[in-house]
Amino acid sequence: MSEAVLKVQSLTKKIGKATIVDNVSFEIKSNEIFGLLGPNGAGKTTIIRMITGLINRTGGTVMINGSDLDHDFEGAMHELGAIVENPEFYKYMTGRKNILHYARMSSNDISNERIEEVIKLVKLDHAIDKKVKTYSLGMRQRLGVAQAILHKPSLLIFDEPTNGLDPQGIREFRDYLKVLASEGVGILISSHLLSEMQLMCDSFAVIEKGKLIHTKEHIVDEKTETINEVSFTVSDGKLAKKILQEQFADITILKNGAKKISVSATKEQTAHINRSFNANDLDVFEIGITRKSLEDKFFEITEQEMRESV
Amino acid sequence: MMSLVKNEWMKIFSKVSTYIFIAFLLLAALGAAVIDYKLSPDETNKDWKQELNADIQEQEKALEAKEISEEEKAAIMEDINYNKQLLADNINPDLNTNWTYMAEWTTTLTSFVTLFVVIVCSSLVSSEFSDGTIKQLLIRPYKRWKILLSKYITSLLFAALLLASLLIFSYLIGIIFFGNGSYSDKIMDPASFEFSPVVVGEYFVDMIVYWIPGFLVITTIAFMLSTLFKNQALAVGISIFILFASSTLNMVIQSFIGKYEWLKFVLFPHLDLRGYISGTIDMFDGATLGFSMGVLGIYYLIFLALTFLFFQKKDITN
Repeated sequence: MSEAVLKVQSLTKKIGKATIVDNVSFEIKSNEIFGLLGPNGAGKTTIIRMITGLINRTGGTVMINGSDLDHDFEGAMHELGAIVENPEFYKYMTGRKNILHYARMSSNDISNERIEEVIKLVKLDHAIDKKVKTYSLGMRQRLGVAQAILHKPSLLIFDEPTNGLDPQGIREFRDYLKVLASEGVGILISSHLLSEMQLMCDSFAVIEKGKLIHTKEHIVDEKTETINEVSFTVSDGKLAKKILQEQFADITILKNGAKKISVSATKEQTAHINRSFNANDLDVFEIGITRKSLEDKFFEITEQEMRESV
Repeated sequence: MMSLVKNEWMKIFSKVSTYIFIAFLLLAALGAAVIDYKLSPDETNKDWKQELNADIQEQEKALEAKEISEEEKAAIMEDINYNKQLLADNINPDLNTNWTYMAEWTTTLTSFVTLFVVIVCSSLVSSEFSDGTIKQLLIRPYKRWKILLSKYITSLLFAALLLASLLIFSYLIGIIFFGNGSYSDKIMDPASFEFSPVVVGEYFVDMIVYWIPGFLVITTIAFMLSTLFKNQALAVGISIFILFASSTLNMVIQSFIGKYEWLKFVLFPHLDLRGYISGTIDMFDGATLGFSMGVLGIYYLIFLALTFLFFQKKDITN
């Protein structure tokens, strides 16, 4: 059983009469990469700033690894590492001085060995003694990761982390996240780039107009993952159709031809269909699947919400 | 808290401008010494008593001349009296030592210390906002007021450092140029129009000590503006504007102070306490050192309270 490293309850932010964030609750466990999705201006950044204590909450509680932000701010912050929006540094100082600056602000002692270890981990050892103003955005992002993980926090927060990164940088960043999560850290990422989040996150929440409109434990669940379309290339299309209609009445047939038939099914169902085709002496030459992307899901969810609210 | 102050100190001294400010103070002290050296006799005149006596004799001769007006006569009489008093009080008018140099020049150069400290302090918090680093700074295991306090302590330390630099530079340069003079030599009070001899060393120390409270308040104003404004250029600009406008504002206020009682409680007339040293210039009716110190103290506390309250509540949105 993994403990929740972040517990957000009925988080609310009102500015004047406008409600920017409305009663948002969610949890992140260790080892989990959690994506906060939503269009620009949906309130993702406001949520993150409330969790990090940068802006005041109108209501709600935030617990970071068991420490309440209101009652034990220092304890909560000790468990947190973050990059809020762009990785900003003191550009007139070297990377090493910047890291030293944050190391001094940690509540536990950070050894020189730890600093060296982190610098090596983010592959900045060749540039660490150069001034940050000479760094590329990718290098700044890596320095940002270094300052966030320096004190071994149990929760990491990255707000729009891949903004302005090139594909190579995005990939590197994704790899870091996987490593960190495997070491037991819980990670919260916000983004409006859905395809990217799909590759990074284990679970996600969708925010729209300040409201949490959908949460899903896991995006990729081997058994129940919805697959848009499964197409079987078989020796006899008619026989295939007959088998499907007889044995899998609940499955919708999308298209069928002489050698091909496509259905909407989950992975588990696909395996069952394949088994009964074989049992009926029907040769299966190819199974093609088209995954429903997170983007499709996102639109599905938001559109559904819109329809309901009309 | 120590590590926070260390961090702030590291940031200040990672900027080239900081070194330029300190170098400027050195050059200014040096430049002032060169000017003083050129203007005044090479060495302190040893025969000043004979010369003064000769002057007096000449002036007395001039009095006996027939074609002089009453006005000229009065002026010459005044000169004679002045010179006689110098002799009586044993005050060398040509005295030129490191102490007279410091009394004359260093006390003026403190304006640069104020200027540089205002520039640095007014960007101490606002630059964190301008650079976006404030977000990374405030998500650390320190309460906001601790982080702000560390910055304020750093401002005061930096102010002390610049003042100390100026004093040390002037003292050393003074010795090199004019030799090590006596602390207790007497000079005429430069701020006074009457005959009032003062001990040069005491005068110098007073000029610095009476300057410090105003300097402290101005530093605190710059720090407050740095916290109120997210824009570094704006914070620095307004701070410098206040610095330069304060003497003009002071004059305006002084001229209306008889009419409106409440103007006594405005900050500006109290910023420069050096007027109280000789006590010859009245700031306004009822102005005493104690009253001015009280007004300064109250403003100081208000500014600090505003700064900390504002910073504690502020939403960091940039």
